Amino acid sequence: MKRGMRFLALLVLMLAGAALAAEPIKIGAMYILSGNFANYGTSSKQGVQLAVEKINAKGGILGRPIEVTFVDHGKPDQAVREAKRLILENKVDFLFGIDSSSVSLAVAPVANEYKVPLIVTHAATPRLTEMCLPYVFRTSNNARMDSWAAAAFAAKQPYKRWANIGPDYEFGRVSWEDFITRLKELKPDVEVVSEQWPKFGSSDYSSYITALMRAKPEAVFSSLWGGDFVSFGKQAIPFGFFKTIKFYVNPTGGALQALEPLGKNTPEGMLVSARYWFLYPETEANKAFVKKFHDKFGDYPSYNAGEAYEGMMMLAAAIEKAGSTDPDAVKAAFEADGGLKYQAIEGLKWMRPADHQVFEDLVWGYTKHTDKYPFAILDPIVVVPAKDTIYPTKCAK
Amino acid sequence: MKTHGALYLVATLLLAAPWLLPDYALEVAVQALILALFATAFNLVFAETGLLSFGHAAFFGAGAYASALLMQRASWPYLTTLPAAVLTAGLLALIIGFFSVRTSRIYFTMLTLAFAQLVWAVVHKWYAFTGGDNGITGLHPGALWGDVRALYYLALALFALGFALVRMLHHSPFGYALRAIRDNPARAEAVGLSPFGYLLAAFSFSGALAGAAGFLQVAWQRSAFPDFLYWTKSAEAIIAAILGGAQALFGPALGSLVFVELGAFVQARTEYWPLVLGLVLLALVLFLPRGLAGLGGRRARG
Repeated sequence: MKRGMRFLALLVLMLAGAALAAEPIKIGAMYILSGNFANYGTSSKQGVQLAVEKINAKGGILGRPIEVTFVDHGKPDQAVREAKRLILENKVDFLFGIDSSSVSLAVAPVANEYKVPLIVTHAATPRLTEMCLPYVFRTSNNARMDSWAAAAFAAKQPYKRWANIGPDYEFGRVSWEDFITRLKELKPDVEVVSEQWPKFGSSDYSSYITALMRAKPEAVFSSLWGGDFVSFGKQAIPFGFFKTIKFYVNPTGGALQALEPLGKNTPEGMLVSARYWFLYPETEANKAFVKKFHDKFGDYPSYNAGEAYEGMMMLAAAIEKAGSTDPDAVKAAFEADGGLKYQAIEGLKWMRPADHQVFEDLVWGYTKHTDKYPFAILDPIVVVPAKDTIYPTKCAK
Repeated sequence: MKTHGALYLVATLLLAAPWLLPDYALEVAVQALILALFATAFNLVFAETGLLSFGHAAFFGAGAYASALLMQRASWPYLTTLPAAVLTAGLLALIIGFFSVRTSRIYFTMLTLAFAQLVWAVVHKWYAFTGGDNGITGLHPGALWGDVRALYYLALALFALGFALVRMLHHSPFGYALRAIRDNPARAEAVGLSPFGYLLAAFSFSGALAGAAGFLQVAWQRSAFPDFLYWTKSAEAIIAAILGGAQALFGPALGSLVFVELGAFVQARTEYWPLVLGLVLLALVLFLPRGLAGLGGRRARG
């Protein structure tokens, strides 16, 4: 009798264990899925889908499948509400994604308050990780690192007369300030001849283009992105803008969302970055990833699709290392041993323990047209080593 | 007698909500109360004076930023920032109203819109003071008000107070004077009412109430963003008022409840939520020209 009871108890325990093991790890992914920038959010979503498929095909993490709920994050107040819904109603273990910088700044403190780790894959304001929140992580590089990389290139050029054009909001302002401050450190004899600040989302750039050309810069730094970059590019070409300047550098100009709409019109020789570039590195792993992505979605993975994919994979690695989804255990896994080092397809990602910012080699390149693609590709590619982008942080560790 | 019964039922439900609703539903309820206070404030000017303000976001935002800045820079406890939020918003309304209430109809609407966009632009660009488009983040209202139940009761209390004041005003000689000015300004002036003073007083009071709504939003959202002052925020109050029925005192509150709940429901289910939300609102406005309150018949004028 006693033995029978013991057996029964064991059986119940095993069953409970199996049920527990099969319970999915819930992740709430927030991206821009409506409006003007939906093409960014949608491609991030595809990256996440591909990563989750891959993880679940191998039996999930810790024997538990991943279950992702996607939501359109909208504006900061809507995003905070959606974040609370995911946390309180869906009981997600992690929040993930976020395209807009201001939304990331609004959601981060809320996620932190509920102790639900937030993994940011796109929003690039340096301020996010400078808030030093214990449960907030970013697995892609931020705008400051792009600016520092651009400054490193710029310092090697013989040009002294620099000008700026950037969207008139935090991202544009900070990108330029970080760039020019860093450039002056590396090369003190540069001079700024013009700064142009079109409104974010402008459709008419002619006055800014002529103002830039009047100032006769040798080189131009631009932080225009997305539709702004496309409109500016289309309007600047007939003015002969790209022929009059010798050097044009534009972080995130290598986004497929910018290069594809410009198509064959893209000027050659622009130095642009893509946080992930689908033709780099030329490894079997990357080729397989691009093929799989293309087969599934009919498009090449954009930089934010690549970053969303790798962000999910890096989170999976952290959970695996932690051995649980407990927020403190995952935090410790990200921070331990000098910070989690994760081998992504694009290269090594290192999570700095103090501020939870990932550092990685940055892919830049000069635009060039080929017969193979209907849009410009990066050729030659120049890679900025991670160590050249490591800026000091005020977060203590 | 029957209306009293219904009133008690609604009051009991509102008071018991934190014990009946799950956490997330309560979070949404707080948002509905905030918009209800904001829309009721807006409607005070719209319904009583007939002037459509497209600039009330400025007062909502002024209240929010006054509260946020005092918490962040001067470390004031959350609740003590309420008077400052209300005063700042009221003062801003006094200034904007001073220039706007002299004009009528479409000019008033355009002028209030222009002023509000101006204030928005200042908040959006003044990085050193307001944080620009980065907003002000990490604003925790403390252990007590950080709890959604307490915040719900605070929002409910402020809404109830605001609603009671608007109702009192409506039935007071001041309210009659406002409606007289609305219906026949020349005649009102002939009997000795100064439209400017009355309109300015109503506009400033309405702005101050909108500031209280902004004050609540800061605690709920834990942050303040320039979006609070953008014209789309003014539009939310207008939509809520029209949806619920601008001619009924509780119309804007009813409209707010529907607008917020609908928004939360639809956005959670489809990424095409702007389309769905737009269509539903369009249908409601087309088929219920007097708003949801119009369903209740004439008695709803309360």
